[in-house]
Amino acid sequence: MSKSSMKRRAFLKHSAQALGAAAFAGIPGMTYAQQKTITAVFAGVILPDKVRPVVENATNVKVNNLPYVSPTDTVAKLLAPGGTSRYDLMVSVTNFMRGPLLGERAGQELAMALDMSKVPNAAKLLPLFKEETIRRAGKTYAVPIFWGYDSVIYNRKKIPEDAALTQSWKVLFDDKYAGRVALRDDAHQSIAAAALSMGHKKPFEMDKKDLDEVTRFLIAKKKNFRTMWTQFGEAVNMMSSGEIDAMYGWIVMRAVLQRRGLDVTNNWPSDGLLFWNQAAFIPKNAPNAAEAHAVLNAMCGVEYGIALTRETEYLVTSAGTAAALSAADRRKFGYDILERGLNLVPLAWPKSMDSWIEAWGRVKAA
Amino acid sequence: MVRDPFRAWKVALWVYAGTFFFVLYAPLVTIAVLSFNESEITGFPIAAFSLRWYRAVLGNPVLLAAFWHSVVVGVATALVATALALGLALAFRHDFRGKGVLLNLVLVPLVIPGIIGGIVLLIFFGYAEVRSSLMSTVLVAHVNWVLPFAFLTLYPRVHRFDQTLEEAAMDLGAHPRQIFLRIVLPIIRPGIIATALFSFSLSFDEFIRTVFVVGEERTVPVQFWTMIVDRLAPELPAMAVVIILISMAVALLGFTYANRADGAGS
Amino acid sequence: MNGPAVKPIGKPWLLASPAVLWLVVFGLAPLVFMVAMSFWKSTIFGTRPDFQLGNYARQLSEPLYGTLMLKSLRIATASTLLALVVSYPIAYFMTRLRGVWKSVFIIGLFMPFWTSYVVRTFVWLPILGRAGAINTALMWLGIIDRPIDWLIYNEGTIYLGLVYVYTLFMVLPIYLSLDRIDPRLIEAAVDLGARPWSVFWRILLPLSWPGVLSGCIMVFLLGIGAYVTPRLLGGPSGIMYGNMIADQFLSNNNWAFGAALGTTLALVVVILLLITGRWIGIRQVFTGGRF
Repeated sequence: MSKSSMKRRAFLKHSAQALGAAAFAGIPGMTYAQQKTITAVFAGVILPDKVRPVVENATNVKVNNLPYVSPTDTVAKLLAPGGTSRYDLMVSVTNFMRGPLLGERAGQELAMALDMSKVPNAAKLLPLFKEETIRRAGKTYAVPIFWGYDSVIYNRKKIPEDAALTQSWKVLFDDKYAGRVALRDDAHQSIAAAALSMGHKKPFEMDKKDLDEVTRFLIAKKKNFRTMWTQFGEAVNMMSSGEIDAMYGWIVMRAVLQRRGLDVTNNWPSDGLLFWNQAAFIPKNAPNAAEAHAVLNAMCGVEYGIALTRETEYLVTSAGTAAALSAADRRKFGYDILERGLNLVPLAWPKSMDSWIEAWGRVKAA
Repeated sequence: MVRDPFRAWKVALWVYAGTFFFVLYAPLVTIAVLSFNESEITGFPIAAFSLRWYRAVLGNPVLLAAFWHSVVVGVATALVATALALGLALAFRHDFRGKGVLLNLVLVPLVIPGIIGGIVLLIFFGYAEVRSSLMSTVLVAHVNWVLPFAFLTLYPRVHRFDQTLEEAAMDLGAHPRQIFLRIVLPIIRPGIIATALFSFSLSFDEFIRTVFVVGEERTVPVQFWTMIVDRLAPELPAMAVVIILISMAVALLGFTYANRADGAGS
Repeated sequence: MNGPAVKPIGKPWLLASPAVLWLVVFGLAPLVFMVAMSFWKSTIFGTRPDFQLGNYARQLSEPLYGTLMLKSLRIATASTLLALVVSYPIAYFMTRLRGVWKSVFIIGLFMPFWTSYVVRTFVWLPILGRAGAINTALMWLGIIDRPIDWLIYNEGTIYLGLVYVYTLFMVLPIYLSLDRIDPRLIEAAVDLGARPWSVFWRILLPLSWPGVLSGCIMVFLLGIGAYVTPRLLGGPSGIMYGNMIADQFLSNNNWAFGAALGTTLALVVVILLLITGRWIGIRQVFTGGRF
C-alpha cells in the first residue's frame, strides 16, 4: 500500500471518528462514553434542556423521556399488558395515580416498593408533601417531587390588583369582565374553580345537588368567556395579545409572560388556592431499576430543585430547596405560600369524575 | 363562437380558483410571516424580524429527526396502502359474493374514532408483546388509517377503466400478467400515483392514533404536539415552514422525475 | 359500457386477500375489541371484563349524549356540504388544465396538507383573533375602529376549520372521477345547445358521482370524529362527540365508557351509511353496478 493511500486511510479513519464523536456530542444528551439510559414518562417541562444536565451528570444516566400526554395516558401505559416492564420511571399527578398505582388490595401494586436507601433525598421533603407520599404497609411506592398551584393569571394594567374581587376566583365569573376572561377546557379544574367561587369549601366532595348547582352557574356565565383554552401556547398567546385579560392559569405561564415584560401576575384567591403535586414512581418490573432509583433521587435533590424552580418556576417538594433560596426568592416563586396562611385547597380527585366530565359536557353543549 | 356563452363561466371559474388557492395558502403565508417574528409569542404584531427560530430548528436534531421519521413511515405507508388498495380495487371490478361485506370491512377503520383506534392498538400490541416502534406499531396504525382512503380514491379511477382494451388484448392471446403490466397499469398509473401521494400526505399528517403507539422515534405531528401542549413553542412556525420547503423540494424532484419518465405531456 | 360478457383479469379473492388479511387482523380485531370493552367496567384501578350494560344505560338516561350526537351530526353534515360546494368547482377547474399546469396545481393542492393539521388549525388564532391579522388590517385601513369579536370562537369557525383542513379529501376523488370524463361529451352537449346548468346536472354530476360520494363519505367521517378543531376554534360551546370520547380517555380513567361511546358513534355512522346507501346507491357505486 502506498504511503499516500495509508495516510488517506488514516485521515479518513480519524475524521470519521472525529465526525462520529462530534455528531454524538452534538445530539443533546448523547455522549460517546458507555452510559446507561432509562426510559421515562413525564411531562417534558420538568426536565427542560437547561435542567437536564443537572440530573444526568449527577447520576451518569441518560434520561429518555417519551411524549407525555396526560395522567390518564400514563395510567393507560402502565395498565396495558407489559406496561410495568416497559418503562423505568414515571412521574404523574399524585392524586390521580394513587388508586391505580396501589391497586385495590395489597399485592396488586403496579409500582415497585422503593429502596429508600437509594433515595436518601426523599426523606427531606416539605411536611406538606410528606403526607402525599404513596405508601402501603410501611413501603413507599411514589415520592412527590414537584408541585405548583393554579390561580387566575391576569393583566395588572386592566384589572386592579388590590380589589377583593381580583383576589378571588369570582374575578373570572363576574360580569364586570365579561368577554375578557377564559377558563381552561378541563372539567376538573374549571368546575373546581367555579365551585370555590360559589363558596363550596370542599369542591371535590360535592354531591349531585351541588354539582348541578355549579353546572347551572357555569352555563349561565358561559357567555362571559371568550373561550376555553386547551394548550399552553394558546393560553399564553391570548394573554399576550390582549385577547383576554384574565384566565385560569399555571405558574409557568406567569413566568413566561413576565419574562416577556408583560405586567401580568397571578392572584391569591381568598376562596381557595388550588395546589397539586406530581410524584415519581418506578413501575414494578422496570428493566433498569437501579438507574431509575438514582434518577429519582436526583430529582428529589436540592440542586435539581433550584435549577427547576429558576428555569420554570415550578416548585419542588424538597425542603432543602426551599431553605436554600433567599427569602425574596421564596416569596417570588411562592414557596412562602405555605407560611403565609393562604387558604390552600389540594386539587384532589373528585369522588365521581364521571359526573364531573358529564357536567362539563353539559356546560359546553348548552 | 358557440362556446361564447360559457366565457363568463370560464372567467368566473378562474376567479374562483384564484380565491380558493389564496384562502388555502393565506394561513401558510401567515405562518411563514410569523416564523420570522423575534417574539416568543406566536402572533401579531411582529416585534422584529429575525432568523432566531430557524437557527433553533436547524440546530435541533430532535426536530429534524422527527421530520425524517415522518418521511420514512409516510413512504412505507404509501407503498403498503397503495398496494393493498390496488388489489382491492382490481378485485372490485369483478362481481363476487361478499362484495358488500368486503366494502364494509374496508370502511371499518374510518368508522373508529381516532382516539379509540389508537388506544385499541396500544392494548392490542400490548397483548401481542410488540414494542412500539416506527416500522411496527406506527406503520400499522398509519396503514390502517390510510387504507380506506386509498381505496376510496383509487376505486373510482380503476372503475372507469375501459375494459374493451383488455378484451382486445385477451382476444389477441395476451397473458393476464402482460395485460396488467402493459395495458392496465400504464393507464391507471396516474391514479396510483395520486393515491400514493394522498396516502403519504395522510400518514404525514396523522396524529391521534400515532401518539398512542409511538415509541422513541416521534413523527412530526407528535413532535409538534409535545412542543405546544405544556410549553410555549416559538419555533413552531419556523419548523412548519422548513417542512413545507422540504416537501416542496421533494415534490418538485418527484415531479421532474415523473415528467422525464413520461416524456412530453402528462 | 361494460358488457356482462367481459371478465376483468385476475381472480378477485386473490387480489383482495392481502388487504382482507390486513383489515381483519388490524382493522376488525381492534374494533371487535372496542365493542367488547364497551361492556366492561372501568374504575380507577383499571378496566375489568365484568359484563355489564351500565355504559349504555348511562347514554340513554343522560340527555347530554343524544344532544352531542345530534350536534356532531349536524356539524359534520354541514361541513360536508360546504366542502362539496367549495371543492367541486376546483376539481372541475383542475381537469380543464392542460400539461404541466395540471401537475403544478395538484402539487399546489397537496402542499398545504404536508403541514400538520394541528398547525393549520392553530394558525387561525393569530388570523381571526381580536389582535389578529384580519382585525389589524381592517383597523389600519380604517374600516372598523373596534376589533370584530365574532370572527372566531363560535360554530362558524368550526365549519371554517373543518372545511379548510379536509378540502383535499373532497377535491381529490371528485377530480379523479371528473378527469375520466371524455371532454367530447361536453362539447357535444354544448353543440346541441345545452345550457351550463344542464351540462353540470345531466353530464358532469352523474359521471362524477362515485367521486362525489367518496369525497362526501370521507369528509363526513372525518368531521364527525373531530376534536382538535371544535376545541381550539369553537369557543365555549366548542364541543363535539369526539371531545366527549377523548375526555373519557384523557381526563378520566373510564375506558369502558369511552369504548361504549365509540361503539355508539360507530353504530350511528354504519346505520347512516346503510340508509343513505339504499337511497343514493352507494352499493351500486362500489359494487360495480351500471350508471
